Amino acid sequence: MAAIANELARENVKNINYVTPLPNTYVIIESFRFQTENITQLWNSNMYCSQDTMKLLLEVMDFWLPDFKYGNDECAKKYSKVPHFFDAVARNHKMAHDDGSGEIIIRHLVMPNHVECCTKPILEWIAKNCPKAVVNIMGQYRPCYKAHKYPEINRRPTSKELNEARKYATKLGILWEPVS
Amino acid sequence: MRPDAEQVWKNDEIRSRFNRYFSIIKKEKIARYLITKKIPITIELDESIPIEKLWSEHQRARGKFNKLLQELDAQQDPQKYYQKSDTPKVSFLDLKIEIANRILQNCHFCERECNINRENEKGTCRLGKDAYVSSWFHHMGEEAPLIPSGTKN
Repeated sequence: MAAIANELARENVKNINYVTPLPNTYVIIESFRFQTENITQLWNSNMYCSQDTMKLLLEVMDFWLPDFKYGNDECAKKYSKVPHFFDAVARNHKMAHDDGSGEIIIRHLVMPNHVECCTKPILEWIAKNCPKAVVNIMGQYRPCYKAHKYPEINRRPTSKELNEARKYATKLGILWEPVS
Repeated sequence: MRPDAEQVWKNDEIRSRFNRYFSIIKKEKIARYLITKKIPITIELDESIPIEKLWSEHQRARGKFNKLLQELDAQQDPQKYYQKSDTPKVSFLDLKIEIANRILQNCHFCERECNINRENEKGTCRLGKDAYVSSWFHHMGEEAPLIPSGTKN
């Protein structure tokens, strides 16, 4: 793990990007013992981690690339089968913003028929609680896997929905254009 | 290289919000994990130490970490200052590694907190102890300020 990071750093990448890192947190933290290069460490995660995990990460991660997917617990439970999603994910974003490096790009995937229940509450929460974050409003959702079981998400988002999301972010003063 | 990967750094707001990241790229600031290696820990790290004690030491070390980070960021030549400062026998990073290994034995890395000992069996995530890096590459498709990103899956 560390050898790969050292090699990538010497090839002049801008950061070491850990994708879906959460179950391997202990391996990544231990790899720092053997990493030697002065390079940004980037946490690319669904942000559904415990508060203890966040405490360990705050002083080792330089950049945060979290996904903020659902604006309420019902949608999270319905599609991803995870309990108390919103409070946990919101808490972790807030910790990264206030107590960590504070350098964050939040990814939000706009889902069809979920602009009112997910996109807007998330954007409102970010504008209020993470004003330094930059947001990537993503339009590339397409139905995969079991999405056909849920007719409301069994299509791509329309350009009307994406424009609505972008307009709303702008209205809230969120910086999104340079990274979307 | 994608043209917006360079263009984006001309945006003042991006430069200001990602100031430390930008400075690390230019080697003008020190990555956080390197700083944890310089923070001394005052307790022994053996199995008999209760987890609560490790966390209270973690809290203390955090204060020292933030102080050293500010000091380093204020230096004309932070690399030199970093290299000159003492490397402790047991560091804040060692403490983090110890706590991480304790968490694995009673796993609560994720919010599900299944509390399974992943040293011996698989957690709710269906993962045990062993981890593999399945791929690594220069990712050119991430957000403009991140490109090229040394990505590990």
